Parts: sequence; C-alpha cells; structure tokens
Amino acid sequence: MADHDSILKLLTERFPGKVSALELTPAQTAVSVEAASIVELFTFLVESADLKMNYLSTITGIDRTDHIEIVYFVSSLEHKHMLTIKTKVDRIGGKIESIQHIIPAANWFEREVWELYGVDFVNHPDLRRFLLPDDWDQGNPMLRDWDGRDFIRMPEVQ
Amino acid sequence: MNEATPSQYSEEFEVNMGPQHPSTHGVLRLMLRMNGENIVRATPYIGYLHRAIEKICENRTYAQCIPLLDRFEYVTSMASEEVFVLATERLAAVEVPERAEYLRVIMLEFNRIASHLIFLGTFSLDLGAITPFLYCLREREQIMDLFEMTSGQRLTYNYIRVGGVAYDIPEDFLPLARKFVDTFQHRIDDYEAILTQNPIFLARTKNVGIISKDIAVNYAASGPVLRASGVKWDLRRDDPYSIYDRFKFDIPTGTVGDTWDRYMVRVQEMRQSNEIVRQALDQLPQGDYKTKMKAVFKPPVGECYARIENARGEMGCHIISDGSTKPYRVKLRGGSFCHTQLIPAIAPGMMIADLVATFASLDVILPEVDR
Repeated sequence: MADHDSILKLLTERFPGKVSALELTPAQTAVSVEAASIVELFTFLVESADLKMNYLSTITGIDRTDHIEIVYFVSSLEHKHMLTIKTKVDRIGGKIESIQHIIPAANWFEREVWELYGVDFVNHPDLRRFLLPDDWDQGNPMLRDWDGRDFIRMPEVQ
Repeated sequence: MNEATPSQYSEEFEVNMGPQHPSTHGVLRLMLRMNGENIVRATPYIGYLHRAIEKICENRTYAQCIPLLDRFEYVTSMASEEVFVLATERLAAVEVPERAEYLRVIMLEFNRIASHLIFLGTFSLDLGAITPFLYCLREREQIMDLFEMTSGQRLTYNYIRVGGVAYDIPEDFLPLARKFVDTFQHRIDDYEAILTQNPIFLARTKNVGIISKDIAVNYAASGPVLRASGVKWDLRRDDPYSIYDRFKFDIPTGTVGDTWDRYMVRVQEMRQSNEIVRQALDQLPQGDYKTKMKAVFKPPVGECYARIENARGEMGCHIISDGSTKPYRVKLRGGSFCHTQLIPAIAPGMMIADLVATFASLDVILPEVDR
C-alpha cells in the first residue's frame, strides 16, 4: 500500500512538469494535471503495479467562473488508496480527451459532464442527451450563471 | 401457422421496454435489439426522474440540503443524509458526540436491512414469487415504525444533521429494536427456506447475468454487486467512517457473480447488519445526541469527497465550500448509476426474462441514477 507521500512522489517524478501535487483542505491525496496529459496519466495509474488505480468512483465538473475544473476520483481496490485528480479546461468550448477506453465506467460520467457543463470529451463514442430532455436547448444548466429558478418548462399539448 | 424458415428467425427487431414497466423499478427505458428471444444490444435511456438536486443544493443552506437529499436515494434516506453530513463535518471539522455516532449506525444499518428487504421482495416478485414480498414488507414495516417513532417520518427522515442527530430515541425504541433484532434472524431463515434452494428460483438465477470480476471493477460496480463478483471490498472496513471500526462483522462475497450470488450476498448482509445493530444497541452510551452548532453555519473554504457503503454500493458526496452559508457545488455519486451502465455490457446474449432477473438483482433505484 502506497501512502500519501509516495503516491505524490511517484507521479510527480514520472510526469515532471505535467503533474503537480495539490494542497487541499481538509488534507487529501490530490494532484493537478494538464488536460493534455490525462490519458497518459490514467494509463499509468491503471498499469502501474504500485498503484493499480482502476476503480473510478466518479468524474465531476466544477464551474470556477473563469475555467471549468474536472475532478476524477480514482482508487485502488487492492492497495486501498485513493487519489483526487484535477484538471482545467476552458469554460467555453473546453476540450479534454476521453478516458473511457481505459476505464469503461468513465463513459457515463463523461457524458454527464459533457451535458451539464458543455465540456467536449474527444474520442467519446456516445455523447448523446443524457439526463436532460432530448429537445433541450437551454444551454448547460450546471454553469454558475445558469439560473433555473424562474425556469418552467411546460409540456406541449396537442 | 406458417412454418418459419431459419432466416426469418434471425431477423433482428427492436423492442422498447419501459419507461413504465413493472420490472424496471422506476422509470428506466431500455431499447432492446432482439434476435428472436435473444438480446443483441441493450441501450438504457435515463433522466426521467432528473430533479436537478445538485443544482438546487447550490441555492440552499447546508441544513436545507438535507431534506432534499432524502429524495436522492429514498429507499435508504438515512444513507443519503449521512454521506452529505459526513462530507460537511469533515469540511468544518465538527466533532460528533459518541451517542450520536451510535444512533447513526443503528439507523443506517436498520435502513440497510429495510432496503435489502425491499430488494428481496421485489426481486422475488419479478421472478414470480409473491409470498416473500409480503413477508419482507411485514418486517420492513417494523423498521419503519422505529424510524417513525424517532424522526416522525417513515421515508424521508431528515434525521441525521450536521453535528449529530435531530432527536434522541424515545423510551420505547430500545425494547422494540431489541425485539426486532432477536426475531429478525429467524425471519431471514424463513425467507431462505422459501427461496434459496427452491428449484424454480435456482433455475431462474443460477448462472444468469454473470458479471465477472474485471467487468465489475472496470464499470465501477460497488456494494453487493461487486462483492457477489468475488471482490472483498466494503467501505465500512476499507475506508472506515463513523465508528464502524468498533463492530465485528463479516463481509460476505460471492464466487461466480451471477444473480443467485447477488441474492445470497444481500441475504448474508442482512444477517451482518442485524449483528451490527445488536452490538450498537449493547454499546450505546449515554450523553448528548448533538453538538451545539452556531446559528449560522459556515464551513471554511475547502472541498471534501466523502463516501460510505450504502445498500446499493458506494455512495459519494463531493462538497465544495466557498466559505458561505451555501455549498458552492455538491456532486452526488450513487451505486445505481454505475450498475445501470453495466446493462449494455452484460445484456447481449440474454433473454428478456433473464434481463428482468438480472436487473432486479442489481437493485437499481432510478432516483439515484437521475438525481
């Protein structure tokens, strides 16, 4: 079982300049990664015998008003450690490579972030409407400036 | 009737199953591409119950979020409260009194039993056995009564709060809870007598809907579904929260990962939960049931992902605080979401009747998928 420091050391040494350790409160094992290196990082996490991080808890987006942060929570069932991975993409027209060919569970997680935040997951096979109605045309509702409090959608009656 | 040639049999067609269908447990729509009786491809469509809980949470104070989160996973509302409260308490470093921790564990484990009873009932109903459903609801009713006398509610409790629980248990609670714990283990024997070795039940569940270890892990299955595939992973033991490290309990696992294994794992889990409740009732200390919180609760800037072992697997809550009274972002993760995603991976080659059995054994709750 790799501990907090050795995971961070391993990753920052393996990906110099691309992965850096993050200080979060309350303390947790976290790294930030350049969006362009996400596939590289996940391939390493899954294949490395010391880490074996192939269990993806979830992927989530956060609208930080000037950019969108994408957060991956990945853990290893064997070594029982967990890692938070953060990356930044543009708020409008943000793009990041899909990781669903490495971890299939990412498929729906990415689809959700795509729909609610408008982040494009390159090479994702199935970016279709997901939680929202098929004919949704009101933008990406999880963005902070999207205010749904006066939003009432009436069904069409014929 | 005309005799059909083999080529006519092999013509593929599409069947729409749901959103309103008795065995989709809520509103899930499955588009099935069929070849005769066999499924070629299954495509789930979700979102019919999307209530934008995550978005609404951004406009509510932390205390106001809790009753809303009861609607996230309503079969085990206690767990959806606990995961949010746990994340908030870690953010704000709130100390929880001993008695409150015990009360939480008692409620959570009772709720797990209630949820597994619902599973057992509806699962056997889907397979055509009606009796277990009636038995299961009878026992579940007793748990609901215990919840009602404590929190005033039978389904959406709003009981677990930041810093403790909302109310102490009433006087009648302990004797009734003990009575339940003592009789319940024999009730489980009754359910097993009807189902476990029943030839029809075995024919419908053995080697049906096999989920291999690799698929289970890759698709982030969790809880009983993961354990039935032979992975011994339980967050109560492997990423301990609350006071679960004080109780002795086994983690039942399956071997094949078929429908029968998932049934068996849940039945064993009910026994284990029952034992945890028994230990918690024995150890229950006196004292405060909540800490005094400030009138205006503002956790410091930070973020936290808390995860707990729910009846449906890993339930996670990621809270980001900007230091104000309302969370900046709340992300909810439910086990059902990943289990629904499993369907396209395991359905090809199955018959519809087997898909019904398999889907029931995944114990998916659609409000948890759609949020």
